[in-house]
Amino acid sequence: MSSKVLVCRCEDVTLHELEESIARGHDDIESLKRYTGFGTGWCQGKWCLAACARILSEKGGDASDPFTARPPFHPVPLADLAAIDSEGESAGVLPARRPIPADDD
Amino acid sequence: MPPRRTRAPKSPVTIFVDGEPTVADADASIASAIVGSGELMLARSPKFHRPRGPSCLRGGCDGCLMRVDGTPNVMTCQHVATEGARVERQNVVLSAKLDVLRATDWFFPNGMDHHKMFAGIPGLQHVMLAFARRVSGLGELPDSVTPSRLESVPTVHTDVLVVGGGAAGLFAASALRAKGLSVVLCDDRPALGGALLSFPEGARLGNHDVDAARAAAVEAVLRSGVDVRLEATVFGVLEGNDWLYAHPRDGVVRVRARAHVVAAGGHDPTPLFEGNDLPGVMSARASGRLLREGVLCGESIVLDTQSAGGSELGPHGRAFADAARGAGAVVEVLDRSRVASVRGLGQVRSVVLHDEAGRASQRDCDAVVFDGPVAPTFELAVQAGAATRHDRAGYAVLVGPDARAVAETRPRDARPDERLFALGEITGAALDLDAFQSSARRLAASLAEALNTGVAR
Repeated sequence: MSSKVLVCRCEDVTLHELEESIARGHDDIESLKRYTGFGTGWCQGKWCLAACARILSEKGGDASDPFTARPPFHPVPLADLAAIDSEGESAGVLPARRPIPADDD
Repeated sequence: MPPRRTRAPKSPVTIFVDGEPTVADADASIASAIVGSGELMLARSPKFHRPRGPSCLRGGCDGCLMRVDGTPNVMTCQHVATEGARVERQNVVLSAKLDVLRATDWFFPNGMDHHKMFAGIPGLQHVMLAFARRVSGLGELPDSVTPSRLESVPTVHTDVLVVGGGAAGLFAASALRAKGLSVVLCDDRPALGGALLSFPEGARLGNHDVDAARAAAVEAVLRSGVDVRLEATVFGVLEGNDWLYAHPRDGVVRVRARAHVVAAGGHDPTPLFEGNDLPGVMSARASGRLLREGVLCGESIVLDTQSAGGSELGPHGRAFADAARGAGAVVEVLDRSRVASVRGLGQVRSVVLHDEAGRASQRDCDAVVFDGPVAPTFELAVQAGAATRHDRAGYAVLVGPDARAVAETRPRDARPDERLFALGEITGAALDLDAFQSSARRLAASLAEALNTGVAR
């Protein structure tokens, strides 16, 4: 059996990868998410975000805010989403409300 | 020993799991039926093809995603079993039990850094990319194209939308009805009760019998005329503050409310140890829900709190330990040690423990159950403009004494919802029926006043 500790099941991100990425300078929650891919899978962070934020914070990184909450928070068939904008109103799910930090890569 | 049923299904139906007829309960989920037949491995992970089993049984993990009647990625923990349903494992090459791509896991012992791996090497880079596309991902396309079910999204008008049908949401909904307000209550499960449904039968919480308290709260909601929408998952907020929910048969519905109460509860904590994703590792709430549905997750069970950020057993862990012992299982509750790793090929076979002095010991077991503080389900409230506070458990939604959400003020473009309230575990509060009940009364008084005297939106 392998010795992996998974921090994100949906995207198969390991604790080792997360710690390496923090050490490499991805020490805020948005950059860390973008680099490792945690929280970008099926569950959208329901399983992993709290643990990843705790580890980041313990390592001195910035986890004061969660990464931007973007709907849908639950998988919805595209066929159903397609019906949303047909009422003629301004449709589309709300844009991000938090400014996205500049990518320092 | 594999999981087993503790009682016969109340309403037996037959489902077909990879072609094998399997007894299921029409009152319970597909996932619990399969676990009850002795199988913990329901899925494979997308990159390493690691075996996966249900961890949360609450629609918050990847452990029960299966293909049901030709539709990929169905969360089988949220779907009740129906007669003749065809359920298949996905993401496998060769066979579910012997997936050849499992070898990927051993080739990359520390994980796969896709930023560095073979990047920039001409030729090889493209070969690896093609390989990765072939082996990774979740499921395959549906058997048939799903036509859009709706010409347009229907709109429901109400005074208040309450999101979450657990204790907090139920109390809030009936307290708001008592103020004469119209209320729509959405919950993503087929039954009301939220985390109360993750207690085994006969459990106690504080001074309350959980089942009696849940029945009374549900009765009060139904009698007061709350418009209850089950299997209705609220998934986002539109421009103009319309909230949307998705329903497996009705499609998407828009709710236009004058005020919103988010009582979405908490996500399970994440246990951190080697092999933490192995089938047989599950939360106390998941194991409690299984037992409620007549399925015991193992005969020899280790119950841990430290690896999930807890210091002592919470109400779900205590209730599960009692009920599992009552059903004949041996339950070891770890006190001065924590799980360091779990071993097993397709499911948990043994566990390595570390005590306070760092000494290791090993024992055989069939299941590792973890219990710790839940991570508040903040997503919807934050999208609607609520502020949060970060601590070890996660991001709790900040509220005032009347449960009104504190508005996030930092981003310039925020348009906080003046009538946004949050109640229950989403605020970082521990599950406490009496406390939630009195908060719900204060919330209802404040919200009713805001709607009667407040400025128009």
